[in-house]
Amino acid sequence: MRYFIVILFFLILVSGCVSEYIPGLKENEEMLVVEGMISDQPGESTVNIYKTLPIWTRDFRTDVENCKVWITDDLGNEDLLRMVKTGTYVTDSAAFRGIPGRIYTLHFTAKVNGGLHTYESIPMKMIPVPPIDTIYFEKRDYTYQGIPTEGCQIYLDTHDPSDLCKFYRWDYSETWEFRLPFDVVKNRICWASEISKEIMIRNNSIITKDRILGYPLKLIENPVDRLSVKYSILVNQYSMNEDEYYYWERLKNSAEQVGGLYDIIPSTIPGNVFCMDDNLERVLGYFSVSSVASKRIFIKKDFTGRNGLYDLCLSDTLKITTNMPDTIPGLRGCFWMIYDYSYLVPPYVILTKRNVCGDCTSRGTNVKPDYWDEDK
Amino acid sequence: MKLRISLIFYVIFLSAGLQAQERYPVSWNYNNQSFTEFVTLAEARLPVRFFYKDEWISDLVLADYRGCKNLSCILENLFRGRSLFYTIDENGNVIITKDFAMVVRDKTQKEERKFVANSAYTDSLEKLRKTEILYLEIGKRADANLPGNVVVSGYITDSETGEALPGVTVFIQRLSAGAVTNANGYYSVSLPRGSHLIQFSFIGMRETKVNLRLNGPGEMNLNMKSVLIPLKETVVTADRNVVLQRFETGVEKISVPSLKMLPAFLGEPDLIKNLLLVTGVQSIGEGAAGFNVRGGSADQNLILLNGAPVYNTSHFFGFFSAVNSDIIKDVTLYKGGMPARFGGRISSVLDIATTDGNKKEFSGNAGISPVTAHVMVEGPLIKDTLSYLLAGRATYSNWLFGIIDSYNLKNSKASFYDLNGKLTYNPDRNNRLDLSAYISHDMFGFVTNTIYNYNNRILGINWKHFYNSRFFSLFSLNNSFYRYDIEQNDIPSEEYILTYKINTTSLKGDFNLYRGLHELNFGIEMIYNSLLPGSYMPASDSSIFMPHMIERERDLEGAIYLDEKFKITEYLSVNAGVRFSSFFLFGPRTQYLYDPNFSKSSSTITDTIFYTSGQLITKYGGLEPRASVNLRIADNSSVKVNYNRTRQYIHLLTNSTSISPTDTWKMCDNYLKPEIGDQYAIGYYQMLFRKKVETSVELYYKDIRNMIDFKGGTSLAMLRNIEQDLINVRGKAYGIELSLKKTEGKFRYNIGYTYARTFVKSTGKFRDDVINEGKWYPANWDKPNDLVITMNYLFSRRISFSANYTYSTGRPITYPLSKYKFNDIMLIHYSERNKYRIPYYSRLDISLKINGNLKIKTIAHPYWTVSLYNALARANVYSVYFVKRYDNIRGYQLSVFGTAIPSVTFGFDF
Repeated sequence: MRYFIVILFFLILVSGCVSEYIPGLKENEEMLVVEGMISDQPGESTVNIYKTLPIWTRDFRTDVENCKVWITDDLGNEDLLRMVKTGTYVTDSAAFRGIPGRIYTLHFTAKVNGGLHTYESIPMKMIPVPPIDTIYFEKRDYTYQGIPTEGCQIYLDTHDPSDLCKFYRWDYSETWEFRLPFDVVKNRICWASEISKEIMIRNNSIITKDRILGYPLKLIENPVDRLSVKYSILVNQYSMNEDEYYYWERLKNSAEQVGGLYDIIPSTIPGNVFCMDDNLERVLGYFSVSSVASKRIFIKKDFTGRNGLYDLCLSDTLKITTNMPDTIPGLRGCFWMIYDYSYLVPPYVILTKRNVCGDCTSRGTNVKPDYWDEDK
Repeated sequence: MKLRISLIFYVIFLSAGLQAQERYPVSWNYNNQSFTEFVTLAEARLPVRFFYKDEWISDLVLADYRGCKNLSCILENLFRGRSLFYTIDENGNVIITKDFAMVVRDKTQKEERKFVANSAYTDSLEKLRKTEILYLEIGKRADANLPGNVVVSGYITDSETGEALPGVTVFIQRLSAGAVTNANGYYSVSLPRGSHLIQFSFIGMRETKVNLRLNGPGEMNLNMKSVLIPLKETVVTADRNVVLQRFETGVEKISVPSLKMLPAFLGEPDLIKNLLLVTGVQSIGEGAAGFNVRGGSADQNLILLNGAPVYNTSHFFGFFSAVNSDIIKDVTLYKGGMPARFGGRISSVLDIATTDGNKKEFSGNAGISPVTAHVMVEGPLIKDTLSYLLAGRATYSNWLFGIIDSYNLKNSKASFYDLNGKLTYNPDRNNRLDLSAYISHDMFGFVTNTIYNYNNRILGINWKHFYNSRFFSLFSLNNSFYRYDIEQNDIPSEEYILTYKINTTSLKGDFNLYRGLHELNFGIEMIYNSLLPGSYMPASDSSIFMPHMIERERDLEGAIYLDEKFKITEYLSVNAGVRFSSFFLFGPRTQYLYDPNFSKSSSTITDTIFYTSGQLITKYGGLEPRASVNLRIADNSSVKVNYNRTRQYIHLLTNSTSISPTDTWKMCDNYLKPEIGDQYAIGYYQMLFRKKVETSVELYYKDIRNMIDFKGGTSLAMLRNIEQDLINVRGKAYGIELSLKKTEGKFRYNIGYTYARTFVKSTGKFRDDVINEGKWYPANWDKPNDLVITMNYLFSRRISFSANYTYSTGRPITYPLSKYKFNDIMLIHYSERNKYRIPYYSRLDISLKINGNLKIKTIAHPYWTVSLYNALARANVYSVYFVKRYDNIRGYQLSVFGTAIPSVTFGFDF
């Protein structure tokens, strides 16, 4: 909310006083990152170990290989993880599954700066999570570029009769079916997917009742694509202990509101994994121990609004009256046909340079997800 | 309203009786004698001596005044209609004055003589004031040849409003000696017996000279007259020498006329922005609330409005000061030598006094600027005894939102207002009572999700009582209340209102005793604070939000102090004081104990202690020595050395770069120790060019203990056990401040350059409690180079031009170094805290002020101010921030003012 205040004043006093800024930095610091989570769900639990990358590069990680990774619990059990690909270590799904109430600790060794260092997380207790009661949505009216538009706000309700889970985290994965508005394209019906990129956490110790009503999960502002045919969202609900909650909260604070005068001073957020050999070496990331509950809903409803996605398809066309694209060498692969009027006299087709207009697989897959008809 | 020229009047008590005038029979024929002949004869035959100026009497010839057989009868007849007056004292001194009279009253005096204002002759004087030179004799003529210096002291008041005038320079050119009146208008100088020409000068007041014949110690009070009111802000007068006389280093008087003269942002003269032109005062950025004095954090400034602390000092999140500049009478910033009567904050005291209502007649002013309108009225309820002042200011800025083409902003609203009122009651010369009130309100709503409300309310009663002319007390009782409410409607079923409150009541007794060259100030202060760190209440009946409250904090602070100023010789003066302050925190309260082997967090709590209501939880206290020495090394230069220690029992919890509207004040507790600041300063002051230009060099070093900072990434909202998120830091600051000032003449300027550094380091042991591995790092407000130039040129009495230019190094910033993806969320690993800097800051403002007319007798005096803020149109970087765009990090720079901002203000005095 602080961010908004700042934005507001910028806009009042100057519109467009924001310009790009590239600091001339030479410094780069490589840090070890741990991304690990064990859950009470069947299947493998994964721990990723990698390093940070310079800020202006395109890649995201350099994985760290040949680590010895193992998990211990408060009963003295020890489970070794195996590397399935570089930097990715998984538990043996047959032998290991998290149990709520147990306390787990992550250990690993890695080669850093030429030396073999040992790392260890603080012991983490697995807290049971209640199931998600419902996920539902509501139409939201607003005006987009002068046109009345309907958005979609998705909410979540849950409650915990046992009152054990006080700190929640959610993430989701969205999938939607979309169709290109042209008849003759190569792939017309596809499914696009996206996973959540924001941190959704909740401290329920400040609420009277042991329940959450109407937690706003996702606001779909431009309905035309996501909501044009059918939309589905799978929500995962995780339990956390207080330490992990504050880790996510600090992450959220520094990831989402940084830079303004009223924003918090940015800083690196330390996690729960420490180097046992070097006090000064900091490790980023977190080893989470969570129970998980999931729920999926489908939305198939009409939402008004203008679809502007394909506006540019026609403005960039080629009208060919004589030759079909196949007959022009080298044309295929660069142009896509979206209208075929070859039956007219004179015959012509309309081609587009943009692959998103001509081939839906450029934004998704044309393989229907296996759960897609679960709502029927 | 017509403006009355009330004049300097100035009258004496001499210890003689009126009947003395009948004692001198004149037996000779004085008809047709010239006055000189008459005087020669009279001095020969009678035990009298005459005092006058030759040019007054050169053409005087006596006539035959029938029946006049004594001196007073003759003089009465002779001077009738000539604007000459005379008085004869018990020793036979005949003192002739022009344009004003001295009244001799029968009053038994012991050692000292007194001169007290009397208004009996003012009316006749009104038409006649031409010369400003007054003649006066103090003490018995018989003592004239005694050895040694004698002390002359007195009070200076404004003849128009009757208010005491602080900061008036009392100067004796020939001796290069002088003094400056203190906050109560009191001065005292030690002079050799004999004749002296004493100058009294003050900005906005007509300079007055007194030709003094000094025989013995005595008192001389003066009413000074302001120059033409409509042009108050463009008066050319001097307060030279002030800087040489003051004891402390680092004390700045902000002159109200000069405040109004400078270019103002959106036409709104602003006190805090003006302060930023003072060397050693900086802010984090444009539009940031608060200011930093000599490396101190923004919460280390005590801002007093008529003696009561102001918690929220700005409107619009820092774009405007909370105090209306229309009603400011006097502003003093103590950035260095803090007198012992002040305490409670480490870095500085900004002491703001508002004007008293006009005791003589109704007057006022009004004005509009693009975002605000203001009006002020004042006048007497009972003439010369009871006066009032009311001032208000409000914004109508909502139209600005309307013109912005953004859905979110169109539906936002923001407004503020502030009101000031003051009643001043002056039943007699020895008592003065004033009652002042201040209310301010700020509202801001972003679309409909979050509504912010801020309220300040300050009430104060001050009673000043003179036991005698050299001893007075000031008792004040005041209450300052600040609260904010933030209504959050993001999730309809969980709407809540967050409320924060702080309520401070203080009672202070302050005593001043003047004994010749000594000035003793002592007193006692009691403060009771009650604060609500945060209550979260459901905002509607349907909200399931759980009401909860962070426990209230209550504390009592007490202080006693003693401060002595002593002029050892004309060239050496010392000021030594001590303050003992104490702090007591009381229950009820729940306090956690933590495992001392770990950083405090919810998982390291070992025990909980419950304190009952009224139970003492913790106490702190200690001495705060203050000392300064002023050595005049020559007629026009002096050196000052200064040390002071201060303690602060309240912290502002802020984890953002600048003070933000959601920050809260927190009292010390078991974990939060009082801040202790030690400052050492030395200054050299030199007047140049016949004392028209004032130069100074000041050096300081400061050590601050027990400052606080936040663990990375913690947000302030919903914090209950704040100690878990705080870390302890220590600060050090040093700097050199150079200034060059010319405050008189048509062309005036002020150039200040500061080189200053401020560093902090974390002192904690645990990994979570350490920033930058425990090394010193630059504070957020560390801006080493700072140059400020202001200038003002008076084209004529109607038109003045002013400009100011500011340059400073960019503030420190933490840059992102590397990135990583964690659970598909892009995250940033940052550099060491404040390792880098944003680009430098440079800004020029200009303004032109045009007065509508200069006639005294008009209904209103209109004026126009045309100003251009940021005339260079430089997009100064306010902040650099980094945003994730898809899977990339982009850096952006924000400028608050990307272009020049013109404004036109219209106002009038009536």
